[in-house]
Amino acid sequence: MIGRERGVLIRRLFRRFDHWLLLRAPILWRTRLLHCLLLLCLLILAKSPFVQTSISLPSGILPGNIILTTCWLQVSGVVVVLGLWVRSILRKPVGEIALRRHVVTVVAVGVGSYLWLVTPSLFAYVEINAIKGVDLSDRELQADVEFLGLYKGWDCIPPSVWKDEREFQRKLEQLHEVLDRYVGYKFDLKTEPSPSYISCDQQGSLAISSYYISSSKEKTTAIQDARRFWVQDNSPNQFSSIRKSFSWFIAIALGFGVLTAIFSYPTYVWGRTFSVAASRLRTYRL
Amino acid sequence: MSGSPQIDVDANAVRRSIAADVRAGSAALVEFSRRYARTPEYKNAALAMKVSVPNIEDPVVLEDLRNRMTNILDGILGDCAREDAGVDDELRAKKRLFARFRKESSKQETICRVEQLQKRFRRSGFVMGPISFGLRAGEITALIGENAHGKTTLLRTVIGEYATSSGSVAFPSLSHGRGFHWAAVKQYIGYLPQKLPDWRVSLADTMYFQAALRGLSPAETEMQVQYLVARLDLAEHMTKRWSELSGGFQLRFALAQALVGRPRLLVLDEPLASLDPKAQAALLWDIRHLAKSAHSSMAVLISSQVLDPLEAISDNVIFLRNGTVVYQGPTGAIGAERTSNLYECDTSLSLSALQERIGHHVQDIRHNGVYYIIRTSLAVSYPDMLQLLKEANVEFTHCRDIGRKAMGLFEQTDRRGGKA
Repeated sequence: MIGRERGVLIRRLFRRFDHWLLLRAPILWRTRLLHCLLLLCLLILAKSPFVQTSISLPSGILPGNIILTTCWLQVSGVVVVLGLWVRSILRKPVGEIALRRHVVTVVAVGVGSYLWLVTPSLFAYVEINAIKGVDLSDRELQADVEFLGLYKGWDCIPPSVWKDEREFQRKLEQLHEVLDRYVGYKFDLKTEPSPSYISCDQQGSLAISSYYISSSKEKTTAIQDARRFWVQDNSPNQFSSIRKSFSWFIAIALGFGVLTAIFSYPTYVWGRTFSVAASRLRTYRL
Repeated sequence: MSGSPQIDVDANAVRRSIAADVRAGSAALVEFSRRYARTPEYKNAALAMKVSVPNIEDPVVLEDLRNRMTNILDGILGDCAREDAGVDDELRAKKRLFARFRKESSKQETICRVEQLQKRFRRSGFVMGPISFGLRAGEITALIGENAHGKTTLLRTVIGEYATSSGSVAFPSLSHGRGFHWAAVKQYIGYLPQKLPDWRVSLADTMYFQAALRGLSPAETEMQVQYLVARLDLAEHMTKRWSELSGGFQLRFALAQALVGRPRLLVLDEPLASLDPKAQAALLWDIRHLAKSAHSSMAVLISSQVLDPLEAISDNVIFLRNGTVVYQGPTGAIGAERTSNLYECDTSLSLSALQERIGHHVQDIRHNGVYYIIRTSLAVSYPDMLQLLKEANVEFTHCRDIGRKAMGLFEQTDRRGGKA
């Protein structure tokens, strides 16, 4: 009951503020910036519980490409939302008004669009930071990278790969440890290891899915890239697209703002402008 | 009470209406104040009552409103009684002076001046103009003509939706300061297009938005919107959606939107097309009173095919045919230079039978699809025409003189295919 009353009160306050804004800044009111930012805040609140803010074990890391894919999917969704937002603005015609008043539209739509576009990247940035702070020293990471580098798309490891039985056991233990650390995959060292869909022809071969190896490799690369995220160097970094996107988003947001302002002009203004320009050109040629 | 029997009858009707239903009573009080109130205070108070009543449900408050309405009614009656008794001669003298001042000042102020305006369309080859005219504050100019003969083109060129091919459109009293900018001038122009655009936001918000956009202060915006809502009887429709409104109310809302911000030039393109005769008369009455309003008179340019009511409220007429001006001048001067009289009559007789009966007394008879158009010499006056029909034993249901009416311009040009 109290919750409902509070809801009604908030709605009434919001409506009163909306009316206040309508009377004092109609162009800003038309952009519905307030509504747009409120919706963004709600989405941030809804999404926040699902964002990894700290990761202790490497096995808890999502591979970098998943983070990137999610981020760009979210950006695509945001572009659709922004398109709908601009459309809703354009459905409130302003008629022919002074150019300086359209600057408000450009700024409001630009600011709103930028905040919307940046938000998925900020989530990704939080996740990158969490990956960066994983409980693993650089030396351990480097050792794991080198060890995993030995394995490339093998499903079966014949015993003849290693010199003797002792080395075979040692490597097997190391592999067991690394896979457990990065993907949480534990296979039995004594008997034939797990994936039943892999059958090795040679007697005594170790059957292990290359998926676990590549997954572990991805995670080591993700940790390395996360730790080098803010280092300005030329080495390839899967997350660099996020860093670059911050500046691109400024251009895109400004583009949204400018286009909204341009399309806010009634079509006849463009017709009249071009008609006057054409007649002047004709007079000039004559 | 007031000395005039009619005002007492009307006051009693309003009193009964207030007693029966406060809402209906408030509407009746507004109408009564419009007709009889001598000072704007009572008119404004009545309007304010009408605006506030729909939102009030509390019976105690309603009773209070009922008392206040009765007080307003008594106040108006008291004013009338004093004035009728000749108590306030000074006030009457001031009013006369003010009316004269208003008449003179509105005559002088030219809102829009069109000089040798021409608009050519390359693709269709249609040419509108050249045409010159002036639109003065407080005057209504009717733009008439058949469909596709350049009325909308002229209106859209005047308000800047089309660039002029040659000639000029100037707004001497609207473009202040440095140079001419359409965006600045547009703040003073209210335009009602032929095809009304949909309103996507709530009706109330759209009106507030348009008012605020025209640079009114928040207090002025509130007052203007409330005033127009009351004036055009829109209060009970403010919460509806655009699609839920009838064509007539959509038009009223669009008119309110055009009027918000007190425009100096009101341009209306075929506003009467979707209205019934009663609504047409009400709308034209509103336009006339708004145009000639004492505190913010405006120039009105209105196009319509509904000739007679439009003619009744307009000061000037422009008649277009194939984009050129056939008649331009005061409404009262239509047909002043005619060479024959024109009568529009309706009878069940066939054309040949009618010709047989009255043909030798008239110059020409033809059927325009609905009525017979009878042309006579100037010597045959309207009573003569009625006498002629009676003597010829022609049973008619309708007969009127259109020689000095806008309708006559249509018939004249139909016959001559050009100049009236």
